[in-house]
Amino acid sequence: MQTEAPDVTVLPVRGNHEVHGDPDGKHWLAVFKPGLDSNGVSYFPGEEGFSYTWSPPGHPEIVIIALDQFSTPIM
Amino acid sequence: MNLVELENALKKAQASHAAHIFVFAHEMAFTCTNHGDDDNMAKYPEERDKFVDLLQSYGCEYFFAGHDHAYDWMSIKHTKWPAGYVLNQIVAGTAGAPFYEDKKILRRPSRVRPDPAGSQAEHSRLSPRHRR
Repeated sequence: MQTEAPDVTVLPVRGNHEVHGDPDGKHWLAVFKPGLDSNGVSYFPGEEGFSYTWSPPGHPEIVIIALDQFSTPIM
Repeated sequence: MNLVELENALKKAQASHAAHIFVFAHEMAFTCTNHGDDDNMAKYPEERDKFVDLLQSYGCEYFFAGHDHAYDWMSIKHTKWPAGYVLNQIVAGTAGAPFYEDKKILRRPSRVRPDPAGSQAEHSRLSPRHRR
C-alpha cells in the first residue's frame, strides 16, 4: 500500500464510519484489499480484506492483529 | 468480532515465539472519553471481558483503538489476572477528524467500574494543543 513515507506499511481496519453506507464492505475491499494483499497480511478465514495478522519482514517476534469493526455482539 | 479466529491468531503468534503482540480494532474495550458504554465494546461487557481475558492469556499487553477523537492511555488491571500483568488500552483517534475541543469530555473520569468485575484502570490523557 503506497504512502507518502517510503517503507511505512499502512494497515487499515474498518470502523463505524466505514461500515455505515458500506455494510458489506464492497467499497472497502475495492479500495484497501489490493494494498493489504501486497503488504502480505494473513487474513482470518472468511474475513479476507477485513481482519488479519501481519509481522514486519524479518521480525517474527512482532505480531500485529487487526480486527474488523464488529457490527454484532462479540462471538 | 470472531473470538475463535482471534484466539487462533494468538496461538500462531505464541507458536512463533512472538515477544510483542499488538491488537488493533476501531472501538475501544473500555469507555474513555466521548463514546459511552452504549457505543463501544462496553455495550457487551461479558463478551468484552472474554476479549480482554483472551489478550491476557496470550500475553498481549497493548490494545489500540480509535473511535474517540482524542488520545487516551488506560492501564487495566484485574484481580483475576496475574499481579504483574497490565493491559494497555491506547485510544489514538488522532486522525481523520478534528480533536474534541470540549474539555469536559477530555476530563471525564474513568467509567471502568472497579467492582464486581475486579478491573481497575488508570488514565493518562493528552489534550490537543493545536487544532487540526
